[in-house]
Amino acid sequence: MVKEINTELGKIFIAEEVIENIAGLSAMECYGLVGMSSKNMQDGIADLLGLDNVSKGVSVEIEEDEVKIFLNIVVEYGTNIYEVANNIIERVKYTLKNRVGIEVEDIEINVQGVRIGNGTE
Amino acid sequence: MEQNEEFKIIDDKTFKDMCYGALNKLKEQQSYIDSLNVFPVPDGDTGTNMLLTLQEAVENLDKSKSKRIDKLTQALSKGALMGARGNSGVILSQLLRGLSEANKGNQVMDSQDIIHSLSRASKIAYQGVLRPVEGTILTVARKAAERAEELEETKDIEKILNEVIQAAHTALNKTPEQLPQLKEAGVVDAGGQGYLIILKGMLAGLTGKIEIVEEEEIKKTVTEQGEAEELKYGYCTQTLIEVKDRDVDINEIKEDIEQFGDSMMVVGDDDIIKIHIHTDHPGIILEYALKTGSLRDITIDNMRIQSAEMRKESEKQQQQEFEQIKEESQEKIVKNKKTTQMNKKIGIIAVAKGNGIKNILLELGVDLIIDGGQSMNPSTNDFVEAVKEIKQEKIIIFPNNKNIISAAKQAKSLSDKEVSIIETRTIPEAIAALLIFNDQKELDELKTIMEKETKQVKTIEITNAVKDSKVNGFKIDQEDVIGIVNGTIKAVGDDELDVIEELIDKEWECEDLITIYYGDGADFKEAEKIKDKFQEFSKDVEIEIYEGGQPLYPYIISLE
Repeated sequence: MVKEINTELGKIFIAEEVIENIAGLSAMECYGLVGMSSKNMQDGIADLLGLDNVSKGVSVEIEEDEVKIFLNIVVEYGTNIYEVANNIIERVKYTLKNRVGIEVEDIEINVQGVRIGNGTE
Repeated sequence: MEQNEEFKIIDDKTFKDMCYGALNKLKEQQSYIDSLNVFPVPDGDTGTNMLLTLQEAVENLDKSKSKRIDKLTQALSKGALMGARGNSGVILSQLLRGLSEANKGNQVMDSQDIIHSLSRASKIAYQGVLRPVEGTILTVARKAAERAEELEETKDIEKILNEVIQAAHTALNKTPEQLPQLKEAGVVDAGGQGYLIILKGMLAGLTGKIEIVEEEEIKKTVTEQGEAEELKYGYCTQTLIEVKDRDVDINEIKEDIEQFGDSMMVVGDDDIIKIHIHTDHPGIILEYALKTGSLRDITIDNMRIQSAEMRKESEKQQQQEFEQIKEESQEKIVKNKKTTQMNKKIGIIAVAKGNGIKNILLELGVDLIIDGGQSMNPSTNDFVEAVKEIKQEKIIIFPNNKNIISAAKQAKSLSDKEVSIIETRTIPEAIAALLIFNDQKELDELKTIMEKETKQVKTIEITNAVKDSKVNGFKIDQEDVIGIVNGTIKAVGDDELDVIEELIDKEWECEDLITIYYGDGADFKEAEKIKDKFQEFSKDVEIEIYEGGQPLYPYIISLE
């Protein structure tokens, strides 16, 4: 599916992957998120993914006018997971609304893992 | 010197003082930090978020009875973790976790521990994010830590903190170079500023130089001003009236009691009215009120013996109470008494604020109005209720604000009735669409022609900036007049007339009907001046002026 936006001059179609990428990138700006875990749940392992694959861990559902986003994330140990998840939801919503013009109906965050940082020298 | 001796070691008491110092300083600077936010992002209240986080941290610290630094830092860190608010709050909680980790097993803190704490805090903070952005609180924390690490030989903690604060300051001043958004807005990073303030507060707590002096001075001048005001009337009188007769006219009450004093406020609805007045004759006021209904919560204060400060405080409180009652008495839903009796096929719902505008919409055939608008968005539930309330099975909704459209859409999906949403962003768009309303047409057809009609209207909105910002290349200061055309900021200035003139210059396209709706902060005379401005541009144009009564926007102007 693609997201359709009607404007005065014509229609704009935005592919699911674009929304996935933008959602993924904006989530990564959030403090406390240290990785995305593969969206393929069967894998079972919350593999840490790098920047090259920003849309991994993000899936988008578009039904008619409604856009739903699912994020599978890994957070840093010692952070307030509830608050981090909240920050991510707000940031992703804000970015999509203001940079792309898409009103997101629903964002679901799955915390798939917690990473214990290797900050010990 | 004796004093230097003290600053080689931090014990439980000193540590607590440092935390209080930080909290104090942050409280003082909270709104300043908030004002540094450049992006209107969700985490827009950096100062508030950091303060709330630190507050909870210090509260948890207070609960700890331990005299050991490791236990105390742990309590602080745990409190911050639980109380973290927003992005900046989470980062702060990680910085404090670093402090706690660095002090594991420590009874007291020495200079080495301080250095270790700072560098550990920075390291932990960097770990918590996938892509650390430079030019933020992280950079400031890192630079502070790097400077601290260079000071290994120094034993004096005060000196270390002084140096560290200087480094943090330098780093903070460089943040605009690292983040273009900061540079455009001409500010430094808000989170970084918060960290610097916390460090400064800790130093102040350490040396006992908590600068309460400033605050006291400010207070003093306020009191003096307060006392300088001369009191005309002696008694602050207020009461709630439970109204007997439902046809009471608030304006009539206002007129009747006005002569007895000043600072009068009368608000309320059909059931309850609140009166507040400064008068020399509280008895007369109460007697008068008794005629309207039974009284409760009567207070009479002699203002001449109240201290000026207390008076100020209580006045503020009253003001808030009144705002609240005012808000509540604004009816959420207004139904059109005329059209409910008519046999219409299509029901119309509109969202609006301001009595004048509501009346105009009702005149034009809107069946039900939901109270709301900019910064007062009605909920999906309000729409669902409104749709239920209307007897027609076919319904048109005018949201009249781009932020309300989605709630209306949601209500549409929840309703069994046939609902069509005309995505109007402003009141004039709705008015234009209403003018071509035809009850005999099908909803789809109506939607098409109405939407076409809304495109013909140009809406100018004049409002005031609530904070400093930079948008569309405009540098906007708080309180500036902003001119918005169809939702985009097109002109900024100090004076409403100048802004409007600039807009006419830019946007004029052979219009032939102009309607001016003036709201709070404007009056008919002012609106006449605007009319003259338009007339200068074109002699043929027809101009109408209405009282809209809308808040926030002194003027809404439609050009057709």
